[in-house]
Amino acid sequence: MNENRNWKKSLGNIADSFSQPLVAVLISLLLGAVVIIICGENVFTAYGAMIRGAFGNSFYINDTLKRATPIIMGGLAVCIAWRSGYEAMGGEGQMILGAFCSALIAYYLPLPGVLRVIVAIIAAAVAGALYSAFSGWLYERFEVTFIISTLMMNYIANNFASYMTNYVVKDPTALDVNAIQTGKIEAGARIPAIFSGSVHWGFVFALIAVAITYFLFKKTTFGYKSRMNGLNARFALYGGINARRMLYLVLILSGMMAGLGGAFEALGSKYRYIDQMIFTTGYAWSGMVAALLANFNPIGTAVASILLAGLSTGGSAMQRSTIIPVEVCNMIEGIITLLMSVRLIRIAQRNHKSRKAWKEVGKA
Amino acid sequence: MKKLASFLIVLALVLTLASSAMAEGEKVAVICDPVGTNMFLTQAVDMAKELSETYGYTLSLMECSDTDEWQSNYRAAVAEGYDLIIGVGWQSGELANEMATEYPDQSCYAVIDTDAGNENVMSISYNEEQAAYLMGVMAGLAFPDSDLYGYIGCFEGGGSFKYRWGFCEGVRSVNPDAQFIFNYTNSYTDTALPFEYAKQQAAAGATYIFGGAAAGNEGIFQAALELAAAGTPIYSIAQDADATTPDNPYIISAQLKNTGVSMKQVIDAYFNGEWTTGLIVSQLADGGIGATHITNEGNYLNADIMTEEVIAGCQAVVDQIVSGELVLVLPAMEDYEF
Repeated sequence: MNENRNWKKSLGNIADSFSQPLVAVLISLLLGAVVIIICGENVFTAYGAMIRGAFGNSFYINDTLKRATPIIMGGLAVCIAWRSGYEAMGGEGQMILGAFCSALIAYYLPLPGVLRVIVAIIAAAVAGALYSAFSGWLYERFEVTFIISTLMMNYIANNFASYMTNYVVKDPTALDVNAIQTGKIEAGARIPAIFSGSVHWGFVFALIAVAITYFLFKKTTFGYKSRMNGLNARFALYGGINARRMLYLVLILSGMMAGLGGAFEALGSKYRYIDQMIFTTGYAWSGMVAALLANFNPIGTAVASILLAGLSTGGSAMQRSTIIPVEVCNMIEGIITLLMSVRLIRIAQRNHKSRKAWKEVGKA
Repeated sequence: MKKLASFLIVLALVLTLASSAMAEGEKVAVICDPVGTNMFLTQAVDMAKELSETYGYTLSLMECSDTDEWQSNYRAAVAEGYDLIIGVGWQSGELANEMATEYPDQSCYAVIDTDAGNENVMSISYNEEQAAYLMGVMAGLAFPDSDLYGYIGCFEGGGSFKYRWGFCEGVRSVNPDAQFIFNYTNSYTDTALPFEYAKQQAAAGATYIFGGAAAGNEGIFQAALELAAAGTPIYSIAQDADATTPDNPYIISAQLKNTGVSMKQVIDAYFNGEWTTGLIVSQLADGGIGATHITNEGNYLNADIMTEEVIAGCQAVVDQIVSGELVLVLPAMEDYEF
């Protein structure tokens, strides 16, 4: 009986994490329509193109899932760190290093293809973890706030990778000098597509990471301890939680997720590191939005990531099919993302409860 | 919520049907970075729009904000059955190569300002170092007493090397002891940094600044106006298209890259049944690149700076390059010292 109730509660939680971004998207689409009308475009044409371009057929769905993969991993990184009270924003830097390291290893390491992919993925996880742990050390040793250290470290990582790609490991076979990128990883050393023309296996790995994170949060003492730490660090300390250990464990795990996100993108989608490929796409930031929307629930984060990726691929499709310029498409995406953050369901529930309370007071 | 969801589903279905009924005639896709006010792109896009009226094709402009959108748009253009797919910018080279290899018969592919390295793709690239050299010669002739010449570019990498090299070699051909000062904005559109850099370079002693910051050159032009008002004018050039104007006489020329001409070349070839593939390198000789007041007419001539002697000196260099008497061979970036 008790177990049954727990199941119901879990299902309710999952439904909650799905419904928040979904309802928000539907309402915000209505507001985005105003911008489309101002642009002089037909709302139905524009949104039709957007929905089709995001989820219209298997081609678009695969494209959306491909874009969602690094966003999910960036989102998980935020879930792990923020839920434990460490407001680290270094997912981008860790993702860049993950992508860069994995691309180099998969290109240069003289090992058979599959082994190379495995080593590249492990290296990306290690790079992300170490870079993340470094911000923990700065915090512990010099009391540098996470927001400052991680934000600055994002720039350092991006410019480091940019310098290396420009001057040290630039693709020797590139036909165009403007192509600032590392060499193309050969077919055997890539993360392959699940089946021909589909999204790569990185997406499946990302879903496995979601399941692992969910399990960690809900079923392990680490999950409990990290949550306690996030809710009240002093209480956690009083309860015997080793704060230093928790700090590093959380940051390492978070950094690993971001680093892996970079590796999935480099090995499964671009097959190399292209200068600014993580910076301009803003995967880590989209991941952060997804995690915040889902209130750090890993499953909700994955759903929100897919929706955000769909917004982006759908936005491109809208721009392809209409006269709306790319800047306006990006603005509509921004409006939708912003409105997705409004906790509409919570507000509705609160209002419903207060109305109910008023009614009861009235009856009394 | 249920009502809203069903409304959206019905909407999507209706639109799918409507759009499939709509598609008729040839479809042309132009894939590029966000166009904005970047003359390199506006010339090409405007030409594609203009020619859509002549040939009656449906034009779709696909502006890509990041590397992933480039990839997505290229794949989508093939999947959505565009007849002619034209990429503008270096990012298009490899993607066109991939698409032309995977789907050689699906569409016709062309790239502008890069080489796809594929026999099924029409690639048009430019010998920009020739025009940059010309800009250098012009700077050397117009400001012979200057010890320091400025350069403000977008990115420091290999992509801009041929501009830097051409410019420096051009100046040194006239003024062998010339010194240079370089700044980069890391953006194609930032105007605030070029504005500051121009003032700093002017303070360091530069009178002429090579404007290589794409749309960001506007910042240099504004700084020139401000410095002129303070009695210490600097002079600069525009990129890609003529921007000389009596409102700002400190823009003395422009290094032209006629992406509009290249776009016309591609579209004309496709619709007139003269489609060819392979690499075409545009240069001074064929007018694909050039310089305002030297190879092409300009909107406004600042005759105090661009004197007849300066123009004649530059035109002599054009003749040497076109005739093959002067051959510019771009060295490897790491072997060259500024």
